[in-house]
Amino acid sequence: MPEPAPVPLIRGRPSAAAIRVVLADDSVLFREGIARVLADNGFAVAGQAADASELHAAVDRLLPDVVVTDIRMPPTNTNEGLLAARRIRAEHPQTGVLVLSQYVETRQAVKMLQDAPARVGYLLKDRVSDISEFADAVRRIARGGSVIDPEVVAQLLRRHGEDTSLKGLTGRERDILALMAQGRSNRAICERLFLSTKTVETHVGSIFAKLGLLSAADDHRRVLAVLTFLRNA
Amino acid sequence: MVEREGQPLAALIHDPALDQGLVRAAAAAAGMAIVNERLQAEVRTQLEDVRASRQRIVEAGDAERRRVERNLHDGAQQRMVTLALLLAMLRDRAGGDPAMSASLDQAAAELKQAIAELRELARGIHPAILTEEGLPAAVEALADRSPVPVRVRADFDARLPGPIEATAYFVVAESLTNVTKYARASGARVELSRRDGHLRVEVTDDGVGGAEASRGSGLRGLEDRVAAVRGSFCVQEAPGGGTCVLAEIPCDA
Repeated sequence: MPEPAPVPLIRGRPSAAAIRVVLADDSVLFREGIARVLADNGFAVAGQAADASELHAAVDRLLPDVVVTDIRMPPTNTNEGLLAARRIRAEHPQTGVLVLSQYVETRQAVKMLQDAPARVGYLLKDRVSDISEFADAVRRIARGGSVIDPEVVAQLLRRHGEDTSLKGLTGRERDILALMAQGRSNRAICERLFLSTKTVETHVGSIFAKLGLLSAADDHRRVLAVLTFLRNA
Repeated sequence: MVEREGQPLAALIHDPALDQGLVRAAAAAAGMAIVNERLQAEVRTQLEDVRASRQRIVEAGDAERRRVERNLHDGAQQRMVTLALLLAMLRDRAGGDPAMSASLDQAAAELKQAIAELRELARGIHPAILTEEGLPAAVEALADRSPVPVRVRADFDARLPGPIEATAYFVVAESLTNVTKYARASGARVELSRRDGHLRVEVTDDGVGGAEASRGSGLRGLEDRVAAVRGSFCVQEAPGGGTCVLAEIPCDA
């Protein structure tokens, strides 16, 4: 007799503590897809919006934990999502915002983090098709962290080229620096690189010392410190 | 009466006592001068018309590029991202069927590549960041994406007229492409400055040099583009070797 398929614990059934999400995108099909993915992964999709004004109305009414919004929306189809993110973070400190963009613009991402260092994220839009990564990003923002697209970080690191300040880092330290810049916690870095907490902590300390950065207590402050360093150095 | 090809051109008023031969000679000379002046005025007008029409053609081209990029962004790109999401959901559900999972993974990988290629294409047609945030930001974005490290310095942050921003942007974009492709440079520098009613765009690399504006369709195209907004364009050897591309475009205030 075939074994019964294991029943996932949270799938499709948001618990009372489920993260509440509001979605904004002018494509209904895309919104519906995201809503389905989030619901399947234990999130509660509280509302949807097709443009910036609908989004603000929904946020005021529903006070979600996280907003997932496209960067370009009617009426001007330019950077509504970024402006909305700034306003939402100012008016509703408990609501995080994940901005999705068809293009990676390093400057936009860094600026966004400088404006509001916590509970914000900037991801390439097609990252949503990596469902577990996307769900993880929404969770990290809900928990107060920041999420930066790996491509933003790759661009910043590439731009440094053979820059002297990064030259002193070992290959392993560079990997860890990149993960920190994406907004990963020490624990996430441990899991990703199969290292012990102690080893990662040692590496992080060494990176900060070599770059002359003050170590930051919160993960999101750390992201900002690292990104600002990479951007300006 | 001064005539030209049977048409009266001017009346010469003179003292009847003057020698007729002298008067005829004076009339002929005056006629020639008038015709010359008219021809020159005509050429000037035509040149101005050609300049204006060249500028309109470039502007129409830019507007068309913006439209194509917007259509790609709102249409094909958006649909493909949605498709990637739907595929991922299918893949999630096909977990128990290895053959199906493998096929879906392959489809997803192909689609991912297609999305990336379309993104590069759309950006090359017209970068959204130029319309949204202006020239310095768009040039910074070019530098962010350049395989060769690029330093950018801009002494202004203000917006300029669209055709000027677009022209300056394409000068930098094409020059940096050349740096990557041919210069074998270890670094490049872009300087944007505004002085005396002109925008000055300078792209310098530390590579092997040898670029000439007259050779290669890329640089030639840039020269034409810059001329369309009444600017000057030159390619010269940089002081320490390497190549320096310089464009100066008039822009008010």
